[in-house]
This record gives sequence, C-alpha cells and structure tokens, in this order.
Amino acid sequence: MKDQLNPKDYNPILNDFSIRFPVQIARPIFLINSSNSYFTKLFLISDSTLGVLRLVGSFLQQLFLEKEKSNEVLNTIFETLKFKESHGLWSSMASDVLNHLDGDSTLSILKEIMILYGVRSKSGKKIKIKRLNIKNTFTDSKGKVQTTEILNTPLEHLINFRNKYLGHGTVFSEKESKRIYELYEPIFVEMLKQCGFIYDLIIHDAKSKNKINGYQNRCSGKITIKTQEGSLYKIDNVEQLSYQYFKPLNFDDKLKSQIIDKEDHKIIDTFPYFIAHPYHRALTETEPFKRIHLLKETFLNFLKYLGLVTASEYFSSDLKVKEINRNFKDFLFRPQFGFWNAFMRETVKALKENKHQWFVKELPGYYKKIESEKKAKKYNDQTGIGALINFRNKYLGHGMVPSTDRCEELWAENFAILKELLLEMEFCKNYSIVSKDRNIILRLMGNEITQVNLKVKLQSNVAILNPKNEQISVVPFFVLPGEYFIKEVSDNANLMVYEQNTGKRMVFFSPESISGETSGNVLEQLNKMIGEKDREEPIINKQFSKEKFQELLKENNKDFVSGLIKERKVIPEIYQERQEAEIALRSWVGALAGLFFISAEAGSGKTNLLVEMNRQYNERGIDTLLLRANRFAGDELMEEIQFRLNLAKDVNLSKLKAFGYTQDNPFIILIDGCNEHPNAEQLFEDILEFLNIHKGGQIKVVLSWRVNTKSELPSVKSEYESLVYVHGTDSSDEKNIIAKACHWLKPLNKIEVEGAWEMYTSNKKDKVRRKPNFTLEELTYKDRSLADQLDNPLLMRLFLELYNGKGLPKSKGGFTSIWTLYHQKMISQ
Amino acid sequence: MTNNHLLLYRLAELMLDKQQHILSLDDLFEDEQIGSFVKSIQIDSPYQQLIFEGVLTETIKKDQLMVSFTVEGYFHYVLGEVIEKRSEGKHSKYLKELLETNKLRGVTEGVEQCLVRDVELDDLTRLLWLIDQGGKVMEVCIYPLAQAFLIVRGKFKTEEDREEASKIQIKKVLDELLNKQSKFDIKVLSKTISKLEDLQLNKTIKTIYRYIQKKINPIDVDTTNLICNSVEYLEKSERKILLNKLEKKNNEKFRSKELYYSLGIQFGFFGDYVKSIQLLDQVIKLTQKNDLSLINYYNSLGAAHAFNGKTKNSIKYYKKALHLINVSNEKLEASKIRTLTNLGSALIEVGEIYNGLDFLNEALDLAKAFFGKTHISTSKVYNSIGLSQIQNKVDLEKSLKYLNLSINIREKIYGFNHPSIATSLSNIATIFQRQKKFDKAIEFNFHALKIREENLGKDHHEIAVSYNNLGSVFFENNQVNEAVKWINKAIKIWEKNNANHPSLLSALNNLAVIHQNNEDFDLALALNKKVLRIRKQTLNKYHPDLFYSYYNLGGNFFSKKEFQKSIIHYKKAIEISYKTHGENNDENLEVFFALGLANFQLKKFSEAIKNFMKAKEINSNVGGIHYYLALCFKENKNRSNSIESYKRCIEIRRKSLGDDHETTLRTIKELEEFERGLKDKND
Repeated sequence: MKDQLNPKDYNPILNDFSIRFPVQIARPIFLINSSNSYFTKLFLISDSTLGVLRLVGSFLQQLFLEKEKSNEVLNTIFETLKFKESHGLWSSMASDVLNHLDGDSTLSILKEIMILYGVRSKSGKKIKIKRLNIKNTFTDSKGKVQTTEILNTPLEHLINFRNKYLGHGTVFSEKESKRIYELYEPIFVEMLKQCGFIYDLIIHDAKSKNKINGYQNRCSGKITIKTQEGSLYKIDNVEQLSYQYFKPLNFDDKLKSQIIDKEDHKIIDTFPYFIAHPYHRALTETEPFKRIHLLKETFLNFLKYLGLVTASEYFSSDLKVKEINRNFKDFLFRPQFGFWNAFMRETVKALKENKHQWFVKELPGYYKKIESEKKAKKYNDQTGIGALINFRNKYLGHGMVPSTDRCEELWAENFAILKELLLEMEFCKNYSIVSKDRNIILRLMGNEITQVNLKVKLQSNVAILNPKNEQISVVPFFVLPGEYFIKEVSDNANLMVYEQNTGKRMVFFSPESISGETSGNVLEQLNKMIGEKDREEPIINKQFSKEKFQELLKENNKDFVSGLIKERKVIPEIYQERQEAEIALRSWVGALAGLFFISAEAGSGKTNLLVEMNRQYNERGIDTLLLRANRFAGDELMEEIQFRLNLAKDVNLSKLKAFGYTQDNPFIILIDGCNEHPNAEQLFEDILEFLNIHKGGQIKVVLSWRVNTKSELPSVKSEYESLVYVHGTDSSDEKNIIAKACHWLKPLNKIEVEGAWEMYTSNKKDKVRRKPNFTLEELTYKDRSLADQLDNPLLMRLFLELYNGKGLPKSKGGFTSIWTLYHQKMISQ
Repeated sequence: MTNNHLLLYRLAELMLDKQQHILSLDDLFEDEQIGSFVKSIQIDSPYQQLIFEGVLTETIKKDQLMVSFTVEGYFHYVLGEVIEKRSEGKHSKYLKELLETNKLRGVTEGVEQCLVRDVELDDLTRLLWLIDQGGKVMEVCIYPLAQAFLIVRGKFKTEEDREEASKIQIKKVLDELLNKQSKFDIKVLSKTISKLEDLQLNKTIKTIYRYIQKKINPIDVDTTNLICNSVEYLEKSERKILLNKLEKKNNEKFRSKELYYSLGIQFGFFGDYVKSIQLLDQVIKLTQKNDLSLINYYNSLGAAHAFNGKTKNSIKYYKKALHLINVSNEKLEASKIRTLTNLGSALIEVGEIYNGLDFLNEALDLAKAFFGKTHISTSKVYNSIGLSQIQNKVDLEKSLKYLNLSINIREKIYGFNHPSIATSLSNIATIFQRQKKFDKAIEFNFHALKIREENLGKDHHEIAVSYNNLGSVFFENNQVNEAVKWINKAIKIWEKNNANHPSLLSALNNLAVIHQNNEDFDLALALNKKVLRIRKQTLNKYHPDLFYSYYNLGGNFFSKKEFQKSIIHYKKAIEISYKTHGENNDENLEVFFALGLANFQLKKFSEAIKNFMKAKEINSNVGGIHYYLALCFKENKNRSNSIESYKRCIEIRRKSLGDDHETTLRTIKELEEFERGLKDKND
C-alpha cells in the first residue's frame, strides 16, 4: 500500500505521544517539540526510534529466550547489541525473532509488532504491511540533482534516515535540517502510530513498581512487561533502558550563546575564514547539542588547515618525495578524522628529511609542539588533537543525543582544548588566504569575507600570502564555489574546502555546511598535480648504478609488503612454513632456467609464500623485486619494471651482468598472481620473451598462477621451453611444459594446519586474539567439513578470530560454512 | 538488514549486474541504497568499518579508487544471498541462464550458495529442477543436496530423537529427488554420497543406502550400482542373495565395469574373497592400461588376495598400483596412502618387516599431512604399524600406543560397534597375550567377537579370527579344553571358506601345540607338517612363520626321539631366524638350546657343546645352558670346564631360584658328587 503524506502540524499528536509512550520513546518526542533546532530534532527522531527499537527489541528478546535458548546466530546478535548496538541491528534481530515466533498464537499483539517491522507471516497470519513512499534527492556525478522514490515501511525509512543523514557527522544548516525534518516527521508519526500495541502492554519499573509512561517519568532499566494474556516478562537492561526523571530546561541559563572573550575575538577576526566562521557559529549557537557539533566541525577545519596547507606546501615545491605521494593517497584520498593527523605526522617528517623550505614557516614547529613533544600530552595523557578525536568518536558518532547538561559539560571540556590549540596557532593570521573571482579579490580571513585590493597578482584563484606578499597556491584544496559547482552550492557557500577524492570525483564542504561535488577542472588539476609528483625524472642509463638499483628495489618491496599488510593479506611475523615449496625455491636459485612457475590452488597462501621467499632471498644477499600482476600498468614486464623503479626507457637490464648478477647470484623478480592480470596470457608470453632476452640465469622470475586444474595453465612455445625450470622429475605424458614443470602449491596440509593453528592461537604480538576454547582435534571430530575448510591460512585466521574465547560451534546438522559465521559477525556490527 | 548487511549485499548485487568483481568507488557514490555509506569517510561508517576489518579492499587502479571483496569465498556467500533474492518468484530457468550467460567470476559458486539457502529454507524445488538439467548445472547441485540430507530441523531432547529426525529428513529428500526419477537424479545422488563419504558422515550414508534399497530398482547401470553399494546395510541374511541377483543381472544385461567393481568390493566385504577376486580381475581386464582408476582396482584386488591368504599376490598388485601413482603427475595422495599402507602391511605379513615398515612410515607421514591425525585413513596406518610391531616383536608398548591411537579415531568416527574397531581390539588382545595378561586378552577378544557377530555373517573370516585368537589365549592360559573348542570352531569356518588361508594355518598350528603338550605326538606332527606345507606355498622363503613351523617340527621329532630329524628342522629354523631376526635373538637361544639337547641325546657332545655355547653367547644367564654344558664337558672328560659350568649354573640358579630350591640343591649335590668322584679317583 502506498500513502503519500502531506505536511501538517504534528505537534498535538507528538504531545500526546510524549505523555502516553514509555519514557524511552516519549522523552525524545517531548524534546522534539520543545527544541528550536531542526538539526537537533533530526537526532531526536533517531533517539525516539532507538527507544522503540530498544524497548520492543528487549521484549522480543526476552520472549524468544524464554522459548528457545540455543539459537547461536541470535545469541551472537544479543551479545553484540549489548556493547555495539545500532538501529539496523536491533531491527534485524527483531525481524529474526518475529520469524521464529510467527506461529505462536499466545501473543495477541504479535501481528501488530510484525507490521511495525514489516515481517510477513509464514504461518497464515493476515498481515497488512504499510509502506510509505518518500522522495529523495541526490546529486549525480554531473552535478545534477536527481530525485528518486523509495517505498518502505516507516521503521525502515527511519533507520535509513539515521544512516543517511545522522551517522556521518555533517552539521546541516537549519534550512537543510528543516527540510529533512519535514520530510521525515510524518513518517516518524506513522511509525509511532504503528507502535500503538505498546499501550496494550503493562510496563512497570521493577524497582519502583511504577509505570514508566510519559516523558517526565524515570526508569531503572529493570522492567516487567505484562501482556494482555497475563504473561509476565522480566527485562533487565539497565544500560539501554534506564532514564532519569526529567529536569525541565532552564531557558535563561542554557539556551544562550557563549560569552565571546578577547581571545575568541582574535580567532574570529583574524583566523582563516573556514576556521573563524564555524568557530563563531559555535559560540553563537544557543542549542547545546548543535553547538558541540559545530565545535567538532571547527576542529575538523583546523585539521584540514594543517593538512591541506602542508599538502599545498608540498605540491607547490619542487620536491618529489615518494613517501609523501603515498601518504597523500593513503590518508587524504578518503580522510577520516585520524587520517589528517596521520598525514601530518608522516609528511612533516618527510619534508624535514628532504629539507623543505616552509612557506608557512611556523607550521612544523607548531605541529611538533602540539603533537610530538612530551608535554603535548596534557589532556589525560593525550594530545589536544587526540583528545578531540576521541571526543568526536565517543559522543558524535552513533550515540544518542546527550542531555543538555552533558552537552554543556562536553562543550566546556573540549572547547577549551580547541581554543588552546587555535591560540597557539596565532601565526596563521599572518598568512592570508585570498581568492580571485573575476576581478574581485577577496580576503578569506576572519568571520566575514572582505574585498581587498592586492598589490600582487595572484597566480591561482585561491592562494596564501605571507607578510612579504609572497604566495603559494592552495588550489585545488580550497576552491571558489562559483567556478565548479551547481548554483545551489555556489549561492550558499563562500569557499569550498576539500573533503575527499575518488580519482573520478572530488567532494568539498563549505564552512557554511554546504556540500558539493565536482569532477571537472578541479579534479583534473588535482590529478595533474599528483601525476607530476609521481612522475619523477626517470633514472637514465648513465645514472643507473647497482647502489641506486638496490635502493629502488628496497623501496618498491617495502611498499609492496606494507600494502599487503594494510589489506591484511599478510600479518607480520605470522607465517606458516611451506617446507616443500621453500626448499624448491631455494634449490632453484643457481639454475640456468629463468622461470620458476608456481601453480597455486585457491587459498594456498601464494602471496605469503612469495613475501617469505623474498625475505629469505634478501637474507641470502639476493636482490629481488616484488610485483603484483593485477597492478601492472600494461602487458609488459620491462615496462612495469621501468614504471615501478622509475627507470628511463634507455635503461637496459643487460647492464645487470656488470652489476655482478650471475647464474648463481641472480636478480630475482617475484610476480604474484599472474592470472589476475587482465591479459594474463599476453603478460606471460612477454615474461618469457623477457627471460629469453636475458638468458643465462642472471635474471630470474618466480611467477605464481592461480588454477584449479592443469588444463587452466598457460602453454609455452617450444623455443621457450628451456627457460622453464623443471621442478622435480615428472615422467608423465603431460605435453604442456608448464604443467610438467611447475611446482604445485597446495593449500595447507594437515600438519601445516596444526602448525598454523598453534601459531595463531599462541601469537601474542598481534593485537587480535585468536584463542578458542577448543582444540583443532576436538573441532575435527565435531565437524570435519568445517575443520577441512581451515586449510587456507586466511580462513583459519578468520575462524580463530570468530571463535576467540568461545566453545565448539553448534550445528543444526549440515555443513557449517565458515562464511555463515563470518557473515553473521560482519552484519552484526 | 543492518547497514553492513545492506552494503555488502548491494555491492555483490552490483557486481552481478555489471559482471565484474571489482567496482569503481565513484560509481557507487550515486547508488541510491549505499551511496551515502560509501561516500562517508567517518571512521564509524559501515563502509569504512568494512575496509578497516579487511572485508573489502580498496585499490587504486588507473588513478581511480576501486573496491572489491577481499576474500572470494565470502563474496560467493554474499552473492548467494543476492541470487536468492533476485530469483525470488522466478522460474528456476533464471538460475540456469545465470550459470550459462553471466560472466562474473564466481557466479557458479554464487548459485551453489543460493541453492544451499533454498535447502536451508526447506525448499528443494529449484535444486531438483536444476539437477534434471544435467551437465555442469547438475554439478552445482551436489553440495546443496548433501546439505539437504544433513539438515535437521527442530529441537531434540535426546540424541536418539535427533537421529530419528535425521532419518525422516533423509527420506523426505530422497522421496522428492526420486519422484519421477531421472538418470541425473541417480548420478547426482551417487556423487553426493561420495561427498558424504569423504567427510565420513557414516550414519547419514547408512540411512540413505537403506532407503535407496526401498526406493530404487536396478533398471540400469547407475541404479544397480547404487543398490550394490547399499548391500552392506541390508539384513545379513539378504546380502548374498541380492548380490548374486545383481551379479547375474550385470552378466546378462550390462556387463558394466563399474558394476563388476562394486560387486567385487561387496563380495569381498562379506568374506567371499574368491568371488571378489574373480570380479575384480574382470574389472582390470576391462580397464585401459594407463587409466588411473587401475590404482584403485589394483588395491582392491590386492586386498581381496590378502584376505584370501595369498599375500604374495596382493603384493604384486599393490606394487602395480604404486608404480602407476609414481609415474602419474596427478594429485593422488589418498590413493598413495592407501597403497603404501596395503603394501607395507603385506610385506610385513610375508616377513619383509623392515621393508614393510618403511612403506608404512611413509604412509603415516603422508596420512598425517593429507588427512590429519584424526582421519580414518590415518587410523588404518596406525593399526598396521601397531600390528607390524607385534609381528616384529620389537616393542609391544609402542605397538599398544599405535593401536590405541587407531582405536580412538575409529571409535569417534564409527562409534563403538563397527567391525574395524574389532580389528584393533583383536590386535590389542594379542599384545596382552604377549604380555601374559590373559584375562585382558580374553576380554578384548570377546569384545571383538561380539562386534563381529553383530555386524558380519556367521561364517565370516573375521569371526574365525576371533575364535582362533580366543583358542590361542585359552591355551596359553592352560585352559586346554576351551582352547581346543575355539580353535576347532575357527578351523571349521576357514576350511569351509578356503583351505589354504594363513589364519587356518595359525589355528592348525595352535592345535598342534596343544596335541604336543598332551603328548599326542603323531597328531601334532601331522598338523605341523600340514602347516609347513601350506606356509611354504604361500609365504616368503624366510618368513618368521616358517621359523615357527620348523621349530615346532623339530620339537615333534624330538618328542618322538627322532633326534636326527629334529636336528635338521632346528637348523632350518636357525637359518630363517638369522635372516629375519639376526643372530642374537631370544628365539635363536631356544633353537640352539633345543639343538644342543638333540645332539646331547645322540651323544654328539662336542656338537652339543657348540650349540650350548652359541646359546650362551645370546644369553649367559640361563642356568640350563650351563648345566648341559657341564654334562657335555663331563662326558668329554673336560673336568675343569665341567666344574666351572656347574658353578656358573649354581650361581645363576641361586640367584634366580633361591638357595633352597630343589633344582639348585640338586645341581649342588651333582657337583659335589662329581668333585667327590674326581677326588676319589685321584686318591
């Protein structure tokens, strides 16, 4: 059924709800009606919805537990909800429980609850699920606003609303907040109407024996619920259901802006606009909850100032530092709060090492003072930045709206930290950010943007000027909205500040809380800048020395391994020995044939083996180059080597002979997952040609190829057969030389599985614990098919993490897929 | 759906639509459902969490951020959910088309997962439709069908209730599968049973087979084969009748190699080794030279020969199997372990103990690595090694250790009432017997017998083994009448089945020993001669059992005072013992001592002295050896050596028997008389 709702005044009905519903639902409803801030109202809708989910969810959980206790999946969800609740998880738990209780005829309100959660009956109950239509807008990559219609139950709409608008920390303007609120208010009301069955439950506080209805009431978290049928359920959920008595707001005391002192004025008047403006907004905001959001926003802009100015310094300089390029991609493509700081930490160090002459010369010293020095940790053993990041994660992520008092406390505590950080950064006032919009020059400093006359000509549309009127460009991190964004954005924002980049689009956010995306010139500029920094002057043949070569190899391999660690494909210091393969790869080193082909079955640990062999080769003084075929830019090995090591086209690897590489002491290239290359066969052909050119065994290639059967292996032309190292003695009639010669890397055998189990369960260096309360042998007897799945190191690790501290898996019969367990964990978060 | 769930689901859905397993992050920004998640860069956003957890991986490819599932297996799982939802309400053709047209890597596994979900929801409609499509589509159905057999719904108070529910579930699935039975139904059923066998899910297999007997008629090769494989779960009395019927049908109608093989295995299982050999020979004749199935056939044929007492033949086939494995380049670990175990055990059986142990140890290493230490195949190797230690008489404790390891595994996998448990129990009983713990030995043998009686036919070889073992223990425990009773029961079965079986020899041998002890020397001699004749035909020239035959015959002739013949047989025994056990073996001590006694009786004192001296070299603490040396020296007039030997004898007997023991006192008295005689002579 579709219902299109029209805007109307919902206050009376909300007032009624705030009196009749239990306090967990009623209190946020009351606050919605009394709050002046639409921004806060949005969060309160979410809180009231959470109240419904918690209360009804706890009731359903108790109903279920009294009937059945042995459902492992639901028990895991119950556990997770205690320490990591979310709207979605409550709802998904309730739906699962309702499916279990579907056939139960002892609860008359079951049907109503099923309607609320949109659960269809399989036992023949006639359930009319009400779905509402909602129009949503989004901006596509071309900057056009698109409208879509979504049909959902009211509760599902509200869960999606929470995820879409509130989970991500954006401080919407009041206008935008009002628009969103008005869109969802009727849905919220409809959801509450569907909760009418709660009135049929008699809910008492187990301690005070009083009812808990009404916004003014309190609840100890221990309650009894009596159904119409007379069944009594006891619920003990102090953490999530307790509420104190309502304390009316003292409007005189609370709802007023903060006193702006001299120091604040200094910041508001002289600091860059995108710090000064939200700082001023925060101080003048009367709504405590919104105020702390603005505090967070100001802090984020402070981090952006540090990060983006530092990035601009680098991009404006002549330096080409691979480490900084990597930092930029790792941390600033999609920067979370902590990433800004990580970028600063690494980049300031790298710039120092490269003797960078800072334009904002005070910046490195300032950063050192607030972040690196011992005394910087003055906020409960945290630095100012650390303390504010924690504040954001703890209170402004997925929690409920703190009470007004708590908001005030949080403000007082954290505003002081931010203010201190900013006051230390007073030097920033001497570095004016200016912009050029056609013939108008604007000074983007202080709370108000002012027009100025500049004596110097700006080289970019947005720049920083120092007291000597020298300048550096800060484009494309700070851009003028008129240049690149749709009218809706440019009309409302004065300056767009970089937020993230996917390589195909950039997202910006303005100090006025306007979000915008672009994929035009500004993106091209950024890509060009990154490209130029990446494009180092290639090393020409003349410069190509052994020392330089070894240095480049080391750098590449370090990147390679750290990438794998980041992807968690390799865990440092955890490696299960693959004796047979390792012996073969060690024995081969002095051979004449240049190609060692590893046929690897899925999950056999080929990547870990190559990383380990790389270590072992290096330990024996053999130089190596690690490559991943799926990251190849083209189809040619030489081209990839030149690209990875930044070698000019004229560099010829035949020079390696002169570097002392011989058949016995070769240079070894290890290529992981050749089959993952888009043109795998072509690349393989090229590798053989490459080895044919460098015949003699001084350059060797270890290549892994994932296959299931030999028929999937690539073939080799007869003239190249001598290049392939024949592993072992194969007397079969196999015609394909690769199938005959390859080393077949299998998944872990049972002895290796035992070894890996032992290693993972006893390793204490890794932070993640992997110690179940049972042995591998016990598991094997209990569920051989599950134990057999552990022949893959990755699955073994996941399994042990899932069962850390737990007993043997319970089974309903049937194969237990490790992925069912893993999935359950993943979706429960 | 939780946020994470929605995100993962939608990603897999987009991958399915785009038929690519890696997506541009930018394209996701505009996705109605997950765009806001993906766009968010907050640490607690679902997308960032899944990146942080390593569930998803971001990579920069051609300057663009891309995202994919980190682990394929998990992607397949989520894809299964997507396919399930996508195909809701659609005809099963949708899944077939997906398998045939969608180019996404992993779509097959995704459909498989989707079918598993159907099965978990107790809906087999699509699964059964896809099975009937045959080919690759059918292959996708094996795992879900196995799952359908295994899932048990509901709550159970007892394990029995659960088992009953499991039986109902299996019947239900088979009813649905075999309704309008197609050839693909039978094929997929066979493959599913193989999968269940790999995982040793024996109870499930048993129920399936029992129901197959009721539901399937032998209309073609595949159905007949299934029925044939189910025979072991029939009532004992019906087994052979059905097998004969199936064999006849195969001979007349199909002449199928697969059927010959299944029949051969089943006949062997029920103890008709001659028939089994005949059928398996036929299989091998019908198989091409380089066909790797021969490995399996050779092993089965070898085993049939071994059970039939033709261990030498069995070795020939095991070696052929091993050769095929060694020249093949395929992954044949399981076959190799089986072959090495069989070959090692057979070599030990014919006396090539060290050679056999090498193969067994290789098998054990491989089995531990390939199957793990809790697998039934590993337990078989443990059992064989344990047995070899008994035969080799090297280390009974070690033997006990291996046998216990074996039995622990079998009990956990098969339960306590499986015939293979009986084998290990029987072997453990042998160890107790060797350790003279007769009560324990009898207890274990009876336990083994009970299991065998419950599982096997009354004339089965294994039952005869139990009878014979019991007889042997009773005899050693001086319960002669009991011993004769049990041994005769064993002989009766073996003679009925096959007159030359090595176990029959062992029984005859035991009986001979009893007659010998009862001073029925002619009867004992006749039995021992019969045993020797058969052993010579079946065993390696230097098999330890031949040693016993010669030694026993030597004893028989000695008792009959035919000392010369006795000496010939003892010498033969020593020749074998030197080859198998080396020179300084306790067995040799006994033979040299007996040889010495025979020469002593023939008054060949110098020969006798040589024999006793050899015995003394092996063990100088045996009083009897010194006593007879004293007598021989006395007869040879070597008085000082005689006195010295007397003294050594007395010294040993004082220590071992005590100063006041009758034998000690008699020896002292003899020496005193001898010395007094000498003194009188001198005086």
